[in-house]
Amino acid sequence: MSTNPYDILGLGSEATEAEIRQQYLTLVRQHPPDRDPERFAAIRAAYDQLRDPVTSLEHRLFDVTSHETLESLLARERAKSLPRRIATDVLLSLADE
Amino acid sequence: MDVIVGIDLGTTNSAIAVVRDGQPIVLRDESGQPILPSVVGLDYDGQLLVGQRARNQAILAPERTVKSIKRKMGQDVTVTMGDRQYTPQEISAIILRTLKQQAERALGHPVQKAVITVPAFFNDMQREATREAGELAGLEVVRIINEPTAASLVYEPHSERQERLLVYDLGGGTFDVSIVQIERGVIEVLSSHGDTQLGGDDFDQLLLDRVCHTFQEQQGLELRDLPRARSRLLQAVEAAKIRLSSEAVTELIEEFLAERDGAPLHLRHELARHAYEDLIRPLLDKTIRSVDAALADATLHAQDIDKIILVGGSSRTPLVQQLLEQQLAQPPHFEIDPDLCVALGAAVQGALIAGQDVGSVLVDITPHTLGIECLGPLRGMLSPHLFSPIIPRNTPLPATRSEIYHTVVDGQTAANIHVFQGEDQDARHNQPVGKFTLEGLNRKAVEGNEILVRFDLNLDGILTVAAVERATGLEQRLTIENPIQAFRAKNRAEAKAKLAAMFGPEQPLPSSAAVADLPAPTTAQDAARQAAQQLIGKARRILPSVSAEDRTEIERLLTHLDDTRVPLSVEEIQGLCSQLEDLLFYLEDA
Ligand SMILES: Nc1ncnc2c1ncn2[C@@H]1O[C@H](COP(=O)(O)OP(=O)(O)OP(=O)(O)O)[C@@H](O)[C@H]1O
Repeated sequence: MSTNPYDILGLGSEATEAEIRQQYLTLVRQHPPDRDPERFAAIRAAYDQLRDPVTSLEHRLFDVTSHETLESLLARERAKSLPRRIATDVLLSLADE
Repeated sequence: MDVIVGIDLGTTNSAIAVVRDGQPIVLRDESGQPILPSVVGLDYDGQLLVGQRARNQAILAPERTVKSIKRKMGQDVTVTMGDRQYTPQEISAIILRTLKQQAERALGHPVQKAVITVPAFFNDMQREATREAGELAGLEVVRIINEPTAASLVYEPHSERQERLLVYDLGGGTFDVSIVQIERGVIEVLSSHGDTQLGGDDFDQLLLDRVCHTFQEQQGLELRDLPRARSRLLQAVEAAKIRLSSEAVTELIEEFLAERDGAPLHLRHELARHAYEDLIRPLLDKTIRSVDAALADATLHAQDIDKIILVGGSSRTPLVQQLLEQQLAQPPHFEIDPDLCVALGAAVQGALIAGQDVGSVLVDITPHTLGIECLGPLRGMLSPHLFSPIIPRNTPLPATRSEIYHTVVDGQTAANIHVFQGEDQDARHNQPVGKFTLEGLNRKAVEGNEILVRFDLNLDGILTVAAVERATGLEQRLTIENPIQAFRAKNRAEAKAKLAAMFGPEQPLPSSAAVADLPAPTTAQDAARQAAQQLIGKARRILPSVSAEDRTEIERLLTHLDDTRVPLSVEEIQGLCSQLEDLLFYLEDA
């Protein structure tokens, strides 16, 4: 079985934080720790890796099967770290156009 | 399908529950009591007494009665009852065996498997001792779960949206706080803190000290040295303490408490709530610090908590609610019955393990960091006692982690693996869990020979340790050398025989005809309940306008009727309804 956390969770490497969380919950419901402890441990370990921004980036960068380019990854990470809120005057100027 | 019961083995009270038709219900004893006091005693004939009867004789025969045994679980001690010594596991096993019989009588079939709850902050040894007690009682302990977690299994989320609960559990002997996140039926414990030696028993002790101190000053007699007076007073202060949860002032009156020169001495002591609160405030402040620590561990702030859930009898103390409200800026809730929800939650977990779909899945954590002692810098000096964590606290269970260590010198042929549980950098300040030596290491190896240490922590929070010399594959697994394990090997059979003798031959179960009379949620009951609804509504409307005395009576009947967690028979429902009807009739008339 693959050790890539994206594979373990059955997700593509473009999955968002919210998608990762939802998929984790779905899998935990399918494999509760009480009935399937080993499978749960693997799911949880994968989830923890993806929640940690450093290991998650590593996996996407060094995974040979990934179709992402360094540029696309960097662009996405940059977008994440940029402030998401837009100032009101920008909104206003947009409205003016 | 296997029935797996849920057991709350409490310091002062215990209860047993099961899931029936998808709903957890408490299994009551023959006289209808849902709660079994965790007290064990021997009567003057040497006959075993458990529960209320043992509690009743505690005043007269403290030397033949054992209370609050849970506080000693996991310790290498014995208690005296009559003229024999008992381990804490044996006393707990007597309570468990009584609960088992109670459940078998109520269900009409044998019960073999149980989920038992423990305080989240119980360490490895305390958990092992609990498991041992279960086995002595003839139960297969399929899982040990944490009390606050069990409580949250009974909580019904209000939406699919993520909800975060803070469960504050203050019982008779232990305190726990857990932060729990519920989303789409997955219940995840984020963090836990607590104190396994803090609870209502300590409040009683503080009150007892105060009362005895005053008595000593006035009468020159130390009551604490007189076992009977002390035992009687202890029950009296507990009752006074409970009254102070609803009254501002109360009076303790105990006549003929002792004697001096043949003359009887009476005790009369007035207690004000605020004076009591000053006594217990330092202990409650400690619980609030644990609340802060739990929030910090979960990297959350007070405003991230959607609801505060109170569990355990001592959480009824008004000061507890006040301090929590101050700290978290929202009022706490008694959404679920604080006395029964732990047992009910354990039953839910039991049903889940048995393969029933109960709609929730639990992801619990270990509240303590586990690691080993190694050589390293401690307060600026090289020390052999540096604590090296392997499984950090709040890791979800089950968990497997390993770390690589090195030998210290060339030709080192053995390595001591000493396992601890706790948060201190200095291993000696943590709780020792066990130790073993990996022997026969490669003689030719030089300093820095690699040793892999692997920890496996199972769902019960119980640990297995393995150490492997990487170069040779030499492996050793830990059989923990702790008092419980030692007990297991030596005295297991003996303890079982001792217990069997005390209980006498197994009582036959009631015939199926008797069982049919037992309350089970049936359609007839639903019908009776529906009929009751109208009456209940009426009673509620009238409540604000009646006298205090009538109000108490109505409220008593309503809580009885409303308590859907303990099944009432049709007759019981009808009985309560007719009492209510009589009352309302007379009130409306007036
Ligand atoms: N109304 C009340 N006000 C204050 N304290 C109360 C009240 N009712 C019960 N208590 C106290 O609650 C304690 C018992 O609580 P509970 O039955 O939840 O504990 P337990 O489950 O036996 O203990 P633990 O969970 O610590 O093992 C006793 O100390 C009792 O005096």
